[in-house]
Amino acid sequence: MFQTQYPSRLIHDKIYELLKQGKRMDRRRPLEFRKVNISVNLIEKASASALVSMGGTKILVGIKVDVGTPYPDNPNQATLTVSAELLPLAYKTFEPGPPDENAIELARVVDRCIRESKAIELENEVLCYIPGQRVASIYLDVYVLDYDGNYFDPAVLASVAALATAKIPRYEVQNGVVKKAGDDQVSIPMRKFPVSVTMGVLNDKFLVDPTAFEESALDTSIVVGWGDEDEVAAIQKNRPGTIPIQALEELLEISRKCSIELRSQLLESLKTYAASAE
Amino acid sequence: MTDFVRAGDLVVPGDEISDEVKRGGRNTYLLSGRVRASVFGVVVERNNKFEVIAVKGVYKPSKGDYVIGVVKDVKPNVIEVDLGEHIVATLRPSSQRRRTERLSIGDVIYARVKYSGLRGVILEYDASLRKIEKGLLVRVNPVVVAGLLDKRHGLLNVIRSEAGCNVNVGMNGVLVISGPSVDSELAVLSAIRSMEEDFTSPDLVDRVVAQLRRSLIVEVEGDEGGGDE
Repeated sequence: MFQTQYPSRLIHDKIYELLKQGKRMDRRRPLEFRKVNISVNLIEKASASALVSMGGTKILVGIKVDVGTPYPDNPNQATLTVSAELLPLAYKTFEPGPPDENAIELARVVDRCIRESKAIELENEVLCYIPGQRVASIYLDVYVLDYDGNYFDPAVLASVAALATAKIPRYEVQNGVVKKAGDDQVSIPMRKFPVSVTMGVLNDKFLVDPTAFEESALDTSIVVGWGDEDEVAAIQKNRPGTIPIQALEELLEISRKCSIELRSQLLESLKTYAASAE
Repeated sequence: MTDFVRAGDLVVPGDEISDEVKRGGRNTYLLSGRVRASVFGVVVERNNKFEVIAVKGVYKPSKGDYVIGVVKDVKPNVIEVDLGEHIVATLRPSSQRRRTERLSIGDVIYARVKYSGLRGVILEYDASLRKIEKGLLVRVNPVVVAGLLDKRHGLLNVIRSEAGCNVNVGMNGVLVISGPSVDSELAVLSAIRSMEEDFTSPDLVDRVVAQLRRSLIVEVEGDEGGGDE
């Protein structure tokens, strides 16, 4: 399709015309996600890894856990550092170089979804070795491998899937020194499984999980991260444009319902993985 | 004075097209008195010349081509038009031919190439320039364009009679399909996509018509199913 980074009147009008009939170019319903595939533990050397595809968009997340120092304002908490890269091979407008504002935005949204929902028990003794001095440092890296619209939702899915299936060494403190306790491995303790839902806005119509083609026609879009069924963890309006307040309430309710559906898919995949790992 | 191919034939580089030197057009070359194809593609006849439209490859604009583009930027003296595939053409509005409607970013236009060369691609700013107000904008392989414009097939007429849709064809591989309903436009789109898979078989027209009829029926049934929602 003719995808442009600037709006094309024809595409905008055509997608709106379809939405008024409750249809989309790829035959999805307006509030329907594309097909999601989640696989974990593909990268041997990483503490955890997850590959999620949502339609044509593919995201790879890798997690590395090290021993580090906590931040002074949270001395008894493990640290979490999220970074994201929009790889040039993923899309024609992704250029090589340090992360641009879009990559930074992706990293920030993933970070906020996980951090603000308190999904990880960062104060758990499994991650906190010498309070105030030595804690686990969790490095979470997001790589967009293939882009066909909406990298936020699969990135959050992959991050949570990786965190949930991570295996890190068990450490113990001997004479004030943090050492590995043999070959023992533990999981990263988690309370919640945050999930995000990206919605596009076209005049007065909404659609969930836009493709790259649809994104070129949107008036604006919004990403809502839900820690669980009742709690919003993060909201990001990732495009210029305005959203009326009345529309915002409807969007939040749509995202809540969609997040429940998406979370159940995620948990299903994790269950399948856990069963096969035994 | 013989032609060795007909319009619609598939040729490979080196294939002889004609021994009439003047009949060599785009993507052909001359060797030993014969006009030959220089790319792998489909032969079309335009302005009494044979040219070859490459099966795969970037569109190379040439003077006289009709193209469809999206207005990318409007500057004081020049309008930039995106023709796809990183070709950005320019339009220079002249005061002599003042247009009543002004172009703005996002508008889709149908224009003729005035010049294509070292200075870039320049489009004509005259009566041949028009704005396309509505329709389904799609990008196809330029080879499909060859098939659509081939008068022997008459595909554009077939599409009009079967689906009621008009197809604006740009040589740069951009089409705008406009019809009575979105469903008919999407049906035409799927028929055109089927052309991309096999553009050389002799029953091309029949296949396209069959695909069109299939898609139109599917859309109507889909409507009836979901009509109560």
